[in-house]
Amino acid sequence: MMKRLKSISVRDFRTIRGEINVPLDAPVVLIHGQNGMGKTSLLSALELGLTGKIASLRGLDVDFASHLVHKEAREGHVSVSAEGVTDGAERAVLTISPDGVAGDRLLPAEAARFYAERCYLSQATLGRLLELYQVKDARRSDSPLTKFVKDLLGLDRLDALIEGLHDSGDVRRLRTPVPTFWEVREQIQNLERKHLQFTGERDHLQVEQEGVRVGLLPWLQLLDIDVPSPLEVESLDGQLANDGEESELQRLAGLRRDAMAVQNQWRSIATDVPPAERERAEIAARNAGEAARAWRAEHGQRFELALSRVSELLPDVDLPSPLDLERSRVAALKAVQAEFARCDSQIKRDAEGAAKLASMDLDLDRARSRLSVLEDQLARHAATSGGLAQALSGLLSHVHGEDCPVCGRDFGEVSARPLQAHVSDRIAELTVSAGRLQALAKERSEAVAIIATFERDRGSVAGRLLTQAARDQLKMRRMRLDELRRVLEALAEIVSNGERLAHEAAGATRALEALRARDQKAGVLRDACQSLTTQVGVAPLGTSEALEAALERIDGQIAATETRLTDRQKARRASRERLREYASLARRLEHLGVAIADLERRLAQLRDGKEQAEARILQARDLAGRARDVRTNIVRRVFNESLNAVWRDLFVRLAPEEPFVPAFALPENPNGPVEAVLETHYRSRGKGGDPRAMLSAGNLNTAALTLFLSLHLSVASNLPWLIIDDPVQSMDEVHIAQFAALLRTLSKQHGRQMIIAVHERPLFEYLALELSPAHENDRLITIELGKSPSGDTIVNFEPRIWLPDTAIAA
Amino acid sequence: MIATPMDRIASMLDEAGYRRLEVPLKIAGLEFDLPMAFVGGDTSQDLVLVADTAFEPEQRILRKLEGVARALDVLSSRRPLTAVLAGPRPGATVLDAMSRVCRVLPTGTAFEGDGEAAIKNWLAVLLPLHLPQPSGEIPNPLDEVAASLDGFEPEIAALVETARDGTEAVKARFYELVAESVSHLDSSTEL
Repeated sequence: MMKRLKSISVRDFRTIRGEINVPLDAPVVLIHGQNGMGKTSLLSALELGLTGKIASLRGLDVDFASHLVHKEAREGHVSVSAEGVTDGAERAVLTISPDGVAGDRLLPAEAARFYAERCYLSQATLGRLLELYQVKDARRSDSPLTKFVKDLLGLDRLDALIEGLHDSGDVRRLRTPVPTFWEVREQIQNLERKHLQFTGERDHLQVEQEGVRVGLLPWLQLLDIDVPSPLEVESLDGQLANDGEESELQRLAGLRRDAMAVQNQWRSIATDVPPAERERAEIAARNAGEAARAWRAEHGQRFELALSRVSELLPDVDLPSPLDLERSRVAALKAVQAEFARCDSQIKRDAEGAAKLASMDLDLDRARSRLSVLEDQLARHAATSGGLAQALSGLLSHVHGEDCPVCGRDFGEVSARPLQAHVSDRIAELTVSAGRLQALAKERSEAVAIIATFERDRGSVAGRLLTQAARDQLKMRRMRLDELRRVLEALAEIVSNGERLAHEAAGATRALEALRARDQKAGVLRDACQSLTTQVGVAPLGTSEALEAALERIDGQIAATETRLTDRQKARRASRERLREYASLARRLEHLGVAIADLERRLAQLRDGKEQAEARILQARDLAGRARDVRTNIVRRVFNESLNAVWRDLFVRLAPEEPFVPAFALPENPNGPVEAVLETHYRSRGKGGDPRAMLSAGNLNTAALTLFLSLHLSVASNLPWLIIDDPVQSMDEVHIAQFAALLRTLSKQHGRQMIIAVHERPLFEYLALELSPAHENDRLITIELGKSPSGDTIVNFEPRIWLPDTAIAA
Repeated sequence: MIATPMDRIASMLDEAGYRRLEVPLKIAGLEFDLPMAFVGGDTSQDLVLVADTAFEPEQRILRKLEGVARALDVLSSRRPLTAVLAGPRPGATVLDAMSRVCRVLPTGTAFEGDGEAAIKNWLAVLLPLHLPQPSGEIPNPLDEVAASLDGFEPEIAALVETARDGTEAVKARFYELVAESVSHLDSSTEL
């Protein structure tokens, strides 16, 4: 079915006020209206209804969406119908409010894009096309032309993909943006190094361990321990710990000590006691004993009696044992002498005391008689003479004449001496008496003190004197002691004799005892030796065997056993040491094994992650590559000779006199960034320069217009529609005529449905003529947009059908 | 047969399906003495008049053209009128006057180069437009890339969609994907 736009209704949209219904069901629709009457509004309403967007406005006003509704209305409506473009609905109804657009567009996405890019030449697009020539350096990748081309082809997104994936080309570029990935890579290297180090260490330890195991075997054999093929450390250690040697060695050491003791003692005995010596000793002992006994019988009792009397007299004195004759005698003598001296001196001191007492009594009597004289003298003096003298001298000042101040009588009656002299004499007399009294008193007190001293001394002397009984007893004692002293002194020689005899007897007895002990020891030693033989495990001591020989045998056996045991001990120690070493190596190996396993696990994880990441990077790289390929293909496909050929053809139709034609410089390097470059070709081949330099302003406009048409025509006609908004604003008449012819060709020959808006009346008329229906099914609709006096938009449309021409017979 | 530019023009128009009319041309009972006249074929209503300024003064040609135009107007004909002028280009005043009543194609004198090409350029607007084989569907680059991604990880393939948000979005997502692969790993250096 023909794809054709059928009609559009617009209400309160942009400059259109009220509702208008515009039929579009014709190959050519010409719209005329003064500026501001709503031509562009109508066409953008069409774009909105078809594509759901107004791409042509977006470039002009970012905020355009909020101005879509007519300023006096609250919402606008657009309804577009067409046929042959969708499988379903052929009408789209959209409601526009300041909040947005509600309703679905009419065209499917792909067609909508095509419409916006290649069907609808809005003022904005035309402006952009003209801009292409304004920039000096069109070779910049962000030049308007390049941007236009990229927008047109959707290459900006492709570039975004390619640029975005640029870092996938070399993992080193990911170092900064994706540090974790880089860390994992480095970590893998670290772990691999570590793994190598650990396994090396493990191999080394295994060799070492085997060495230790081999070294252990001979020792274990020596200990008669069966070696299990893999060493079982614990059971082996248990076996080795069972140390029987030590106690045995200790026992042997004890035995050796015993044997040594036996040997030493044996050496001290040297030999058995000869019988003759023993007999001599026995006789000597007996004789000495007899002499001692004889002495004791003769003198012993006397001596003992003397000693007992000493003890009796001096119970406090400790005497050595009476058996120690001389010493006890000397001690007793000393004690007796000391006691005798004490008694003697005591008696002498007592006698001196008695004599002294007698002389003291004499002195005391004399002192007492002097005291009594002094007492008498004192009594003669008035005791108060001193006080009276003082009182009288006080009274003397009151004596004025002969009258007594005391009694008031006239002294002259008594004496011829004046009273005053009398009193003065009396005072002098009294004063002398007082002085004597004082001296006497002093004398008396001294005498009393002397007597007291004498009495005290006498008391102490008298106290020291012995009583008569005590004196007698002391004298008796001194006499006894004297006797005893003499006895003890007399016993000196006898006691010394006795002592000598006792010594001799004791010596003889001791010698005899020693001989007897030696005899007995030899027997004991042989018994000990016999016991040793059984303990050590050698042949028993023969009756005729010398003790030394037997001891030597025992020694030899002990030494041999000790050597054997020590060897075993050494083997045990060595084994345990090696076993410990083995166990420690085994532990280290185990730890190492765990560490290696952990390393390998982590390495595997990290490698997995790294592989996944790298796979993604590779795919991303591949993706970028494909995007580049696609870009290359598209650039090749679009900017091909056919586009240039169409452009050239169209341009020449509009500007037949122009010697240069514009063209796209075909991309030389399709892999590089897209750089759309315009150039001109001289018509008769050969390159010209930059279009800006080569073409007039009018022809630049023509170039822009024809570029759009070329882009529309160079692809399969998805939508055979061309909607052009006031395209001829700066064209001269010649160009307009040519352009009209071109439009007619596109309409009549290539079946494009056209909607063209113009604001110039003559041009509108001219185009209406040029685009008149050419055959039976051809049709033209002309539309005039205007405003009613009330401001509502009004539409005058006139469909024109084909009428056979009568002017020239066909 | 092609002795003059007129012949060349005639042959081109013939070739393009224009039908030659008898001359002198008769419209509304009037006769116009023109060297050649053509009308368009099925899709074109054009009346094409051909004259040679080398043989006829330009003023007279102008008068004839104006006459034809007036005659067509009288009959309310909607045929567009085109004048193809061979020979030297008329003066500007005359050309302007001509342009007011019809489309004028002054092919001029071919002094140099390819005369035929020059005439063809001028006539091009009357000739059918031959479009090259259209280059297929308008390309949608991202779709084309997306279509070639069989066997790609869905996350990577989805980057094509991300590209709609621009370079930085693709970059960020790509980094994220790489980081994601290793993010769950323990990358500490301790053992």
